[in-house]
This record gives sequence, C-alpha cells and structure tokens, in this order.
Amino acid sequence: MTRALATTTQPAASFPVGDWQFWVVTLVFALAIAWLGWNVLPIRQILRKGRAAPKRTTLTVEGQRPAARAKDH
Amino acid sequence: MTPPEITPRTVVPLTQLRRGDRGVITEARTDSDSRALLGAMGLRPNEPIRLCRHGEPCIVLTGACESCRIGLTRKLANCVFVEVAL
Amino acid sequence: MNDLPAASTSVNNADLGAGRDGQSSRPTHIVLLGIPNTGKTTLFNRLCGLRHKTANFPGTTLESRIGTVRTGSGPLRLDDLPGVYSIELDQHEASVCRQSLEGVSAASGQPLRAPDAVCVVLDATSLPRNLQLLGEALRRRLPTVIAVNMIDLARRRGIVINTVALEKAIGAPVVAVSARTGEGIDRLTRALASPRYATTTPPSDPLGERNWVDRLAQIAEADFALRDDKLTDRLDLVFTHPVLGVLVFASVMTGVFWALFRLATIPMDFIDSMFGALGARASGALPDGLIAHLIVDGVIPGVGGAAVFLPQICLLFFLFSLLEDTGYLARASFVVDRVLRPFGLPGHAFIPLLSSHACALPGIMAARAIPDRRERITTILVAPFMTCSARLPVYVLLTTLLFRDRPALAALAFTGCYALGALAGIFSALIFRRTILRGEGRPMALELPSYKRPSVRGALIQAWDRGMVFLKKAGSVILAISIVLWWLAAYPIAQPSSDSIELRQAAQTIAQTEPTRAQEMISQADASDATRQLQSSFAGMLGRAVEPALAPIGFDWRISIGVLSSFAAREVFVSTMAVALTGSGDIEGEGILARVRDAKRDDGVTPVFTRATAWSLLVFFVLAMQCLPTLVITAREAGGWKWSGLQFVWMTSVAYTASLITITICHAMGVT
Repeated sequence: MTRALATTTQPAASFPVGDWQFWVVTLVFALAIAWLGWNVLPIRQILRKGRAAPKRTTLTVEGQRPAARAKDH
Repeated sequence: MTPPEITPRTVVPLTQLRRGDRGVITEARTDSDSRALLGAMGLRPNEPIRLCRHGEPCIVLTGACESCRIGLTRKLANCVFVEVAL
Repeated sequence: MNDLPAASTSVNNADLGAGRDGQSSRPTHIVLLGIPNTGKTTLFNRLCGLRHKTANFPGTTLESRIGTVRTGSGPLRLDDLPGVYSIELDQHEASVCRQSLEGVSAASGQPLRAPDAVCVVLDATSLPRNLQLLGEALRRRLPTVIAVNMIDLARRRGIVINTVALEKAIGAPVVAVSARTGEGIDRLTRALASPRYATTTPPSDPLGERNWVDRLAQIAEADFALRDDKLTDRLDLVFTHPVLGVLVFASVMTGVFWALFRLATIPMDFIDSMFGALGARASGALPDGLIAHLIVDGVIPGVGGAAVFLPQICLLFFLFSLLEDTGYLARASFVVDRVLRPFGLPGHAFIPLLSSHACALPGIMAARAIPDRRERITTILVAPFMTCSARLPVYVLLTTLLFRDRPALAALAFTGCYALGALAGIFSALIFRRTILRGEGRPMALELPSYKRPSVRGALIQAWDRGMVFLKKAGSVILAISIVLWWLAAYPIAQPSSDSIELRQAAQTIAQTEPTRAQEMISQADASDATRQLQSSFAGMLGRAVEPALAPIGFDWRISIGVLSSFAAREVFVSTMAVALTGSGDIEGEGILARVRDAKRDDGVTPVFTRATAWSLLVFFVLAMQCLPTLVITAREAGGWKWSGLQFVWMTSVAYTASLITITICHAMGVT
C-alpha cells in the first residue's frame, strides 16, 4: 500500500494542485475509473437501455427449424 | 442387480443388456433434442452396438468396426431401446 | 463404384469462378469443422502453432481460435470452429458453426463474410460417424478439403482408409494426416491452398442421407477388422468403478494439486521477487514525485498482482490438457457425476470447480464446456466458493495469529477452510437448482476417446493460450483497480502528526552522533505518517463509512479498509493490514507480525485482532465474494450482470451470516 508522501516536517497541502504531477496522476485515476465504468461495469448497458436494438430472428415452424423438422419427420 | 434373461429378438433398453451383448438400436424414447444429439453421436436407429459396461456409466461401442465408445448415464441408457442380436 | 448422387445444386464451377478442374481461386480464409475428439484442436495447433489468437463469438461464451497457416502461395487465415456432432442441432455450438459458414456471424473483430473454403476433419478410427457432418458441410457448397486425421492410430488398429477412392467419390481433396506425429501435414497445407468443390452432396431426406453415408463409408474403408480392445475395456471398468474409480480420481487430483502448489511456487516466487526488484529499481531510478509513487505503488504491484498467478494457471491447464488427451478425463466425468448430481451439478462441473482452486477466473471460463445452461450458470455462481490461491496469504496471516506456535492446528484450520468453501459451494448449488435454476439437468452422454499418449506440444500451446487470455481479461481489470485504490489511499494528503514531527526533529539532532538510532526514529515517524495517511484518505473514509455494518462481526475501520481494498485482489488485504497497523507494507519484515498482533483499536486497549475477530475474519474470507475481476467474468460467461449481482449478494450474505454465527459462538464460549 501507499507509503507516506510527506517525508519532511513541513505541512503538505491536502491536494497539491500546484504540482503538475498531481494532475497527471489524477488524470490517470480518472481514466482508470472511466475504463472500469465503461468496459467492466454495466454503465454502457444502462445507457443503451432506452434504445431498442435490432434483433436477428430465426425462422421456425411449430417451434422447430425447418431442417430439424425435416429430420424428425 | 443382474439383468433379466433376454431371448433373441427382444427389444429392451440398454440398461438390460449384459456386458458383451450385441444389438441394433431401434429408437431413443427421449426428448427431440437428446434424440438428435444421440443420433449425431452415432446412436441412431439401425445402428449396431455392443455393450461394454453395464450400469453407471453405460458404455457402448458403435460403428461398423465398433471403434467408437460412448458413455451414457443410466437414466439416458434407459431411454435407448435395442433389438438384441442372436 | 462411385454411385453417389451428384451435387444437388445446379451451379457449376465456372459460375462460381472456379478453374476447369473445379478448383476455386486461391482462398484466404478457411474454417475448420469437425465432430468432437477428432483431433481438430491438435491439427489447428500443428498448422498454426503459436500464430493464433482467441476471440469470442458475439453474444456467446463460445471461442474461436483464429490462426495463420503458411502455405506456398501465401498466408491463409484458419478459424477453428467449435466441435459439433451436427451443424443442424438446436445447440449453441451448432448455431455458431452454421452462421459462420453462412457468413452472418464472425468472432469479435473479424469481418462478417462467408469463408472461402471449409476443411472438414474426420476421425480415421471411426470414419462412418463423421460422415453425417461431412455431408452437412458439403451441402453448404463451399470449396472443401477433407483431412482424415489420426491415420497413425487407424493403421495400428488395422483400419485402412482408401483416401484415393474417397477423393474420387467426393471430388474434393482428401488428405490422410496425423496431427500428433505431423504425418501428411505438408500435403494438407498444399491442399488448403487449392480446395475444390465437391461433386456429390447427400440428399436432404433422412433415409437418403443415411444411404449416402453408408455408401461413402463402404468406398472409404477398404478393409477393417473388428477390434476386441480388452485393455481399454479393463481400464474403463477400473476408472468408472464406483469405488476404484473414486480412489483413482482422488489420487490423480491429489497429484494435480500437489504439482500445482509445489511446482508453481517456484516461478510464482520468482515473479514476485522480480516485481519487487522492479519496484525498488523504479523507486531509485525515477525522480521523486507523485508519478514515481503511482508507478512504484500502483502500477507495478497491479501488474505484478496479476502476473504472479500465471504459473499456476498455465500449469493447471497444461496438466488438464495432458489428462484430457490421455482420454482419462471423460471417464472421470462420470465418476464425479455420481457425486455431484445429487447437488444439481453435472460431472462436467468438476474441471471448473477444480480450476477455481487456483483462480476462479479460468475456472468460470472452463464452465463453457457444460452443455446445459442452468447447470452451467449454477457452476459459475458457486465456483468462487472454492478456495483460490489469492486467499492463501490471508489464511496464513490469520492462522498464524490464531495458532502462534501450533503449526499442526494451523494446518488443520487451513484444511478446514478448503472444506468449508467446497461445502458452501455444493450446498449453494443445491439451493440454486431447487429454486431459481430449477429444472432437469441434461443427462450425460459423452464420447469416450481412445486412451493414448498425450501431446506435450498441444498441452503447452493450450497452457500458453489460457494464460494469455487470463492476463488480458483479468490483468487489465486488476491494474485499473490498483490505480484507483492507490489514488484513493493517497489523497487527501494527511498532515504529519505532532509525534512524527518531534521524532524527525530528534532524529535530525542525533543524526551525526547516533546514525542507527536516528534511522530507527525516522522509520517510526514514517510508520506513524503512513498509518495517519491511510486513516485520513478517501479509502480510510470509506472504511469508516462501512465500519458500522461490519462492526457486528468484529471488524473495525482498519479491517474494513482491508476488506474493501481486497476487492482488487484478495492478497492485497495482507499488505493493507500491515500498512494500517504498522505503517509498513512489508508483512515479512522482522517484528511486523508481532506488531500486527499487538496493534490496538481506537480505544487504545482492545486488540484489533482479538481471537474472535480472527476467527470471524477467517470464515468471512473463505466465503465472501471479494474479487471484482471474478464478477466481471461471471457477467460475461453467465450472460448478464444480474448473475454477478446475485453471486455478490448471495456470497456476501452467506459470509456475513457465517461470520456472525462464528463470533457469537466465540463470545459465548468466552473466546476473546
């Protein structure tokens, strides 16, 4: 886990906004959160819920595909 | 439990054959999906078989040169009916 | 001799752009089709080697391996379709094969178009059984190549296949090969570069098709003899015996486990130390700053955390591939089926459940082999109950705290954890199969392949394949979570405590005269700052926020942070506790364990790890769902996030309830 970041006796800012490296690591953090949310968690599915996706269907007759019916009969 | 005495030309489920018995499959009395799968695996009507192992699993040899070995649970073997060879 | 019906469509080769001899123009994309156990995978490996990747068919858990074959006229893409007994069956695999041949479905990332040709793999040792699928493939009117595989095995059994007559009868090239020995592979590669349209297809009515198969079988098998395979019969009797079969199975699995946990330890330790050294090097080489901290404390441990599992996963799949290749695993499935069936699980489930003892991720992916949907989902839901390797460092910490100088009792507790997880898994399966996943399971019908010497090459390729899939799927998730947790634990930055400031000032004073003592004081100040940092960070705030929910089972805010952080990887719990309680992440450091044991809660009196808390935490870790990558894979494999949600809620509830019962019993018995 994280080591102490303050190694001197000087008080450190809670968020070192003056340090450009803070913005870089925070950007990386934000990208990681966004990647997890988009690719891992179901956020994409939730956003798409309203849109009805076109569906591919299979022709069946009395619940069976024509080729399977031919074999059974 | 030993299977009952079988006379030639009897149609019985696989579970009633003895080890080494030969026969020809007549039908599979099960749902259409299982029947289609068994047929595709080689356990289809008029297919000759030989029983290798009785019980659970039931092992049969199929094919003209008995080169394909298929294992079935007892429940499924009970649904496959065979005309026993002389 | 060739009295087979001509091809049933009226197209001719000229219309299809073929040459005068019926050859198609040079193909660039061929699919491999065959029934299970024809050696299709071995043939694919022989043709493509490591030049392949794995991709999923959209909306399914079925995989296709896509490789490149180097032919004399250029590279050729080869897709290994799932093994099916018939492409007309009402089954997922059959549907995927049909759609791939029609060009309406393709693996992720691949263009949607029909293949240029199809290569049908037949098993020379039982040719007639394969001919139905061949007929179905020929009906698709694609240029075809036929590979009659296992020709070496057929020869040994006295089966002679007349490939010349077969080729003359069908019209497409027929090549006898042995994927295992490499015989005929060059000829097959040449044939793949110039497939031909068949001149015959079977009639579509069942009787006509049957007659077609029978006549083709007569043409192909010039000579054969009935084999009385006494050795195989005897081995089958032993391996499927209700008593002997179980003993053999137990011995084989014990051997697999021993190899897994003994042999894999060596490369795992090596990878662990390699990443440790990499972290130390990076720490020294990079200029001090936040980016360096992110790399050293976030990225490197994140990548290392996934990579350390690779040896176990690769070794597990290597061993299983060898066992499967020998023909034993099919028999073992029936042995295990008897044991698992009363709980609603099929014999096929034993490989996913066993694999989950290394890591639940490949275990859940292995559940694809279970044909019945309800049984497959049940197996996926309960697989994480099996004690995985990531839990072991937690077990070691807690059993050491509980049984300080009594290793025998610690070992017994260890075994108890494995048993508890397995029992919880199978009883959860029983509950699911009686409630939300109720229904008759599909009775097992399995082809029992011949016993043969396994292919080490094939097993190595399989192990590599599975390892890379794990690294890509889980590694990326673990890395992202490690970065997120690093940031949450690093901010907001805590102000140093007055004690820490005083220690540093005192150290500065005595630095010249007592450097060792000064260094000790700085280390103490660092430890104090690290603990304070964790407490004040967003991660600490989260720990405090969930503390009231976990207090009844004996967890304080520090343990709560550990439980939350272990969602990235369970073993992170150990280093988190070390930092939270001692300020150092080095749990193996001298005296660290003692300091963890002696650490006190906020009241300054009660130990963080009372005996009751340690027992409760042990039970919690055995049963809880604490692995976000596992939830992700469950969603993909089971077909939706509702299953992951159920898995999380069920396992967390079972873990919480069991921990509550444990701590209540401990308090009732006076164990504190």
